[in-house]
Amino acid sequence: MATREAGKKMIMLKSPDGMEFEVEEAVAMESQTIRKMIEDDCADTAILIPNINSKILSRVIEYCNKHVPTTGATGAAASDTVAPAALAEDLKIWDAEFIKVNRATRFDLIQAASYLNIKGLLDLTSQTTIDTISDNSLEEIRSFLSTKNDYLPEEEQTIRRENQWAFQ
Amino acid sequence: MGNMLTVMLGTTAVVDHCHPRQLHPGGSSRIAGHQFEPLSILAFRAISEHIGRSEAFCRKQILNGRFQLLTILVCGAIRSEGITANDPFKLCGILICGVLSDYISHDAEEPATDLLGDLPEFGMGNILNFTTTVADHCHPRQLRIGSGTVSRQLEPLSILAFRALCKHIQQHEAFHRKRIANGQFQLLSILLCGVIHAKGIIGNDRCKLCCILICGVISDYIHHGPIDAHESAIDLFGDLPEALRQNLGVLCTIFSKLSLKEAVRTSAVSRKWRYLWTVCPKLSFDGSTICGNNRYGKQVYALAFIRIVNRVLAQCRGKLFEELAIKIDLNRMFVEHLNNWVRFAVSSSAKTLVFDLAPQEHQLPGRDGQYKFPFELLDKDSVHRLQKIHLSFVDFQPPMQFSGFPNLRKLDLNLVNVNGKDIPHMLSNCCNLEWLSMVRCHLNGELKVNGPLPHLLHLKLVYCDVTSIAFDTVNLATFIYKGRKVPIDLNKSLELVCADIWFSTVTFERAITLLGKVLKNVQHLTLDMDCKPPEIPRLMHYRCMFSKMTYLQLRLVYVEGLDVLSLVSFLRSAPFIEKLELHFCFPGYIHLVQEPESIRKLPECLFNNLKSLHVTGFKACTGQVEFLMHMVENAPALEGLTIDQSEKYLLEGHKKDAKTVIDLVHRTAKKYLEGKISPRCILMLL
Repeated sequence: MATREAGKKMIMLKSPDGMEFEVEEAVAMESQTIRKMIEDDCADTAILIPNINSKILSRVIEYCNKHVPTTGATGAAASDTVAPAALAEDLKIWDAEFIKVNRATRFDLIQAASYLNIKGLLDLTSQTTIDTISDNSLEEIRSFLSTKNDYLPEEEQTIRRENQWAFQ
Repeated sequence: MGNMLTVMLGTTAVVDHCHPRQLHPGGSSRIAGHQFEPLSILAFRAISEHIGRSEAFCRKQILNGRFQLLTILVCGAIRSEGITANDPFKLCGILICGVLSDYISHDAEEPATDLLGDLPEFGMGNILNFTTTVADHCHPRQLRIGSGTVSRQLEPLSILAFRALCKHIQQHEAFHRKRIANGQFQLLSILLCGVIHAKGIIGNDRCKLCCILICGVISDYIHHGPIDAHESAIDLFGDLPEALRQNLGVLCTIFSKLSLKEAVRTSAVSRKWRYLWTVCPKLSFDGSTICGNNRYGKQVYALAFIRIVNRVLAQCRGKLFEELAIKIDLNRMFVEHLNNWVRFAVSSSAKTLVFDLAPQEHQLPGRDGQYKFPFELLDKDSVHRLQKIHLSFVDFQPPMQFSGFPNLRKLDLNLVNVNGKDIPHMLSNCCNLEWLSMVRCHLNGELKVNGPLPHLLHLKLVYCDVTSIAFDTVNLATFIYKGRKVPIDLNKSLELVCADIWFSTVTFERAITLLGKVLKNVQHLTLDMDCKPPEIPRLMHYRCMFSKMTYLQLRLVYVEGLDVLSLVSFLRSAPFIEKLELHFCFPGYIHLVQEPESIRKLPECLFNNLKSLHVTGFKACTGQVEFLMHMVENAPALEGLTIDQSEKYLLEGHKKDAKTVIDLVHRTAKKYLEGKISPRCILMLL
């Protein structure tokens, strides 16, 4: 990790529970929502991030910190020494580790990623849901979503018949 | 009952005024069953569509578009008020208030306050206070006065709505249907619809939107059938995890990554999931995955496919989609349905249209049976909206006055019947085109596109039977061409860095005259050709044609003997290459160099930057050995040399040459290279 250089613009992010996070502008701009704010000059002082508590926000910042050099234009110098493929592999492992959180946290992260518009994080966090829905039986999907089957048997039968092809 | 009739007329009037897709999530019967679920989605969609079309909303103050702000606002309000999922009316009320207060607080220039007359401006956070204020300001008597003011005909309407909403919000209780049936709400709705019916909707988008929303709520209640005692109050997104529940965007993300089959399957999860899958932005029907194995013959298969697509589309009627994709072997009975599917794409505002109808069989049938693309079904909006079109096995004949797709980014035509006159004209007018591919679209003439295509990055023309090519594309980066050797004019494409060219039988000399001008700045070139020997073999001295070229891959088919002089001459036109790959292919038998023959030494010509040389199909024939020796002697910086006797690219119908004696080839290569190759260079013999 490069040490913080003087001259790098810092941005203050505030969570609704009053915590403040100072991050580099480039890191904050991983979020398209914040990028827009900065570009529109709405970010003179601190940016308040509504609906995202400090615990989740710090995780999001952690993610952005990790991912900023590979997407940023200034990252070329840093990645010269390491082959890009190895770097990507490293990042993948890191992501896999990052997403090892409980369900509630993961859904919080999905919501944060969606609000802050961080595509990589949204893809990463929603992947589990996507995998669950695509690979599992309906019963398993229900239990994953902690949803009960509230159809009457004949209703479910009708629904299955309506789109029979999808249930084959 | 008379009143009831008025009500129905009123809603019909509203419906008539609105675009069908804003109001109809699939028929009233479904609304009755799950009334608020589609309603809220509907409301969101109505709002987002208006934003998308920038008709009513075009203010810059709001970050990331109004819709996002509005959603946040609504969610924020819900959260702070502690709304329960059992209180759908309240949520809906907040939603509507959000829209209105949004207008009011963000409308500096326009006379926005015509909705609520002389009310002072309010801040964004004051939705609830605001509604209370509205209610306090309006005395019931005002309603009657309101009906008389012609210029503000919708004023009483909104006031009424606010009062109703406000009241219910203040009561902090769920909206019980029994009470509605007898209570004042019914009266209210009758009043509202009556006003709308009598006055019509004035040409103000904001009012219209407001009406649509309000009437959505009301018509929903009206259509609602007898109350089912067992039916519990409907919570909007029920048991969905909180994160998903609050955000349709997240749901869209998730559904967009599922196949249609997986998405549709979720309808059986629970009631709340019944229609959630329809937020999926892409509808992609692939015959092979949808109908499974074709066990019953073509006709049955086709019928099954048609039925499935029609059923799914019927469930999606009235919703908006990004993409409609159909992939199926074309069958005569499809034509009418394909037209209907185009209509669906038009009405659902699709931006991408994929019709992949090419038969899978190896032997392609004649082109007479192609599906005729129905240009006449596209309205002006959809012509402007389409961003990607992918057609395969389609007859694509733009009408005479067709002026192109102004926002088209990607056009992919495969086995498409096109007209050599209309297509260049149409392309000239697709000024936002970024990606163009035409494969086996027989133009039988020149392809000269006069209009500038400044955004075009990728151009691919494969077996299109063109006699010449001319494009005005300043930013073109990749160019792929396969076909006859024809004049190519891409003179303005100075950014062209990557090229992949296949010429049928041609001499190197001719190839270089065709490509020299076009590929001035190319860095990566793949050239595939059947080499025709020159009339007089000689070493040519071209001036440096390809000064930027660093990577060159040649795939050379030699039917007749290898002429090393023209090959070396060609390489000399690209003196700064760093990496060279040469794939030889000899369909006939060739003689190996077994006895010491006279290996010619060609005049020196250095390739100072050449670091890597990879040769496949090396049979150690005289020409190859001469070439290899020449390159090794003239590449002082060479770091890696790979010589592979097997052929990487085989001609169709040719088996791998089993006769080559690997040892012999390796021995010969070693013998000639010994002492010539620098110790720093790694030699690999395969």
